[in-house]
Amino acid sequence: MSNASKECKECGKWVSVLSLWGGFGLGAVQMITGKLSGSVALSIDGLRSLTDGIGSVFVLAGMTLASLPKDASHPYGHGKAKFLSSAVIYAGLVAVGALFLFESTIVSLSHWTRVPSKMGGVVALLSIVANYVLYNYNQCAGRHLDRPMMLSNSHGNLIAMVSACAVVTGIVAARMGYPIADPLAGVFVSLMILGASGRHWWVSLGHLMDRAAPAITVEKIRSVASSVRGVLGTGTVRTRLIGENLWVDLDILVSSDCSIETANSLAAEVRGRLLSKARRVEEIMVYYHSIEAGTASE
Amino acid sequence: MDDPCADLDPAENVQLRCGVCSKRFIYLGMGQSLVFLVLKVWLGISSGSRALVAAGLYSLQDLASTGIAAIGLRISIRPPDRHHPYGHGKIEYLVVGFTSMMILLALAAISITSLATIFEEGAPGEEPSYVALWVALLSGVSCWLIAHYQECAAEKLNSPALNSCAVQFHGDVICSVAVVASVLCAKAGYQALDHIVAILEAVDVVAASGKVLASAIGGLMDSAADDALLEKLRKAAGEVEGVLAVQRVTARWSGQTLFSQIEVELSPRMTVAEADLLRARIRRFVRLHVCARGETLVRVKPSPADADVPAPSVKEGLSQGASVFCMRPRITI
Repeated sequence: MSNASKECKECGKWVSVLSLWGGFGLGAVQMITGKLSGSVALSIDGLRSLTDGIGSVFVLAGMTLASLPKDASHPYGHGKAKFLSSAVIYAGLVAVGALFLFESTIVSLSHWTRVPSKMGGVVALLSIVANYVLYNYNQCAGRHLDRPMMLSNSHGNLIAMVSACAVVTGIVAARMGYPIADPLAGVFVSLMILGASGRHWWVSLGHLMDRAAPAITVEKIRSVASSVRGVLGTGTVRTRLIGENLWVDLDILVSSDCSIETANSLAAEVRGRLLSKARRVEEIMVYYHSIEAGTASE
Repeated sequence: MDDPCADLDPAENVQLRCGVCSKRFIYLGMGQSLVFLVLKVWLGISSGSRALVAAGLYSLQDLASTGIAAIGLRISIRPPDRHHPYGHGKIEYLVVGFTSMMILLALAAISITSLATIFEEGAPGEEPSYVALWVALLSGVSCWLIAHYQECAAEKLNSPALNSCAVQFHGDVICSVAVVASVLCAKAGYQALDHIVAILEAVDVVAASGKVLASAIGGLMDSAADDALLEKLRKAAGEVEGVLAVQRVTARWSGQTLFSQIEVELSPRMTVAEADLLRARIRRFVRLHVCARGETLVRVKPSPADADVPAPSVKEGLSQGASVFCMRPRITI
């Protein structure tokens, strides 16, 4: 293992811890400052940071469960636990977002006149800087270590930056004589929470429903399988995501006169080649059929 | 009561008829829930029975969950597409999860309200009238009928969403019985019992929902089918002439559909075309003797032993009393 990858692993570890606890810490500071400074938007943004932290704990718990090996009761592994925990937590976050939206809209409509203090703006700026730093580290470690979870976290940091920008804008506008700007920024933050959580929730539900991998992945699987000498074509390719990895059921077409011994070695070669070439493929079941049967079924 | 589907025959016919029956009782359940929701809440308030009002909220729950189940069942039977190559069966587990969560939240609210009322109200409340008793009785009987038919269809179709609906209607039956008991107790002078009964009703239905939810989580987690079913699959594959050995059998449920993978050993001299024929025969055999609604992927391997080794004969278990349907363990309350 190279020194660079060792560094990345170390970096990845502390970035994960910092993302988790930073979310809790920042959320607490934002909420307290939001109350003290009288900024509705900052309070909502603080709650968003806190719920992000809680969500991360749930997702981490799901991932720990997902990493358990296959057993008799779960012959396909425990990978779906990750999507299940995500679906539950993001459903909760959608509800929280809707609550925030309701609250901030009510405040906006009630002719809000309170002007937040400068302190709120300073904390929101601090949140932008902290999330910018975390975004860069999560992106770097996620790409180098090939961890989709970290890349997803970096996306969360980006959303947090945008919402903190909205909070700063709201506070500045309120101090310039438009007090309604602060609760309106709260509405914007709530909508962002709803949008981001809703998207994650939908993706989790899709994976729980055995959604297929993108067409490009399926095409790649087909081309790798067809490149094996003796394979005359591919039939049905079915994929589904279990945890972070793909499970594939692949039909290959071989000559009808071929003995099953030869066909079996072809299937083994296809499997080996796919496992070595395709990223994130955990298991491939290769089924061989005669070319006539394959054409008929298609 | 006799099994309403007992006289039905062949697999496809039963699937079709049970499908029609399930739809009928889903819509009937929705109608019944709507009528009794209005009746129970109105009469509960006017007759002074909190248990009847709580029972009315269960009817609301029934209405919402049967509505969602109807949508879920409609989606679940859609054929596989490019985005969902394994079909849409898993939506049934999501439906079960959603309805169970709704029940848990609603019943928690009811329990808290009833507990608060017991501790806050010093003076006894209004005594419930006998009207509440008759409404509860009527609701109980109709719910029991609907639950019975839904349960039958759920069993025949292996539908978790229908099973979840049946559990809810069973919960409603218990709830109605409890209302009858509470009205009688209130008439006898034990007013607080009305609240206690409401809480007990809630606890009971929560327990049933928890069981249904656990089974849905199992389905979403791709839990293995039960051992008896795996053994049936193994025997069915071994029964087909030409199969030398059955190696590995795995199966999982996706709503009403059983996805199974069977690994069989055949003579190494056999051609792929012959193996295809044998594979089709295994699939047909599994469909006839183990599960009418399922998909079987048969993985063929050459036997390491000599080709002349006779195929193992596994006759017992299938030839007598072979079920056309695969039954999963039911959850009843």
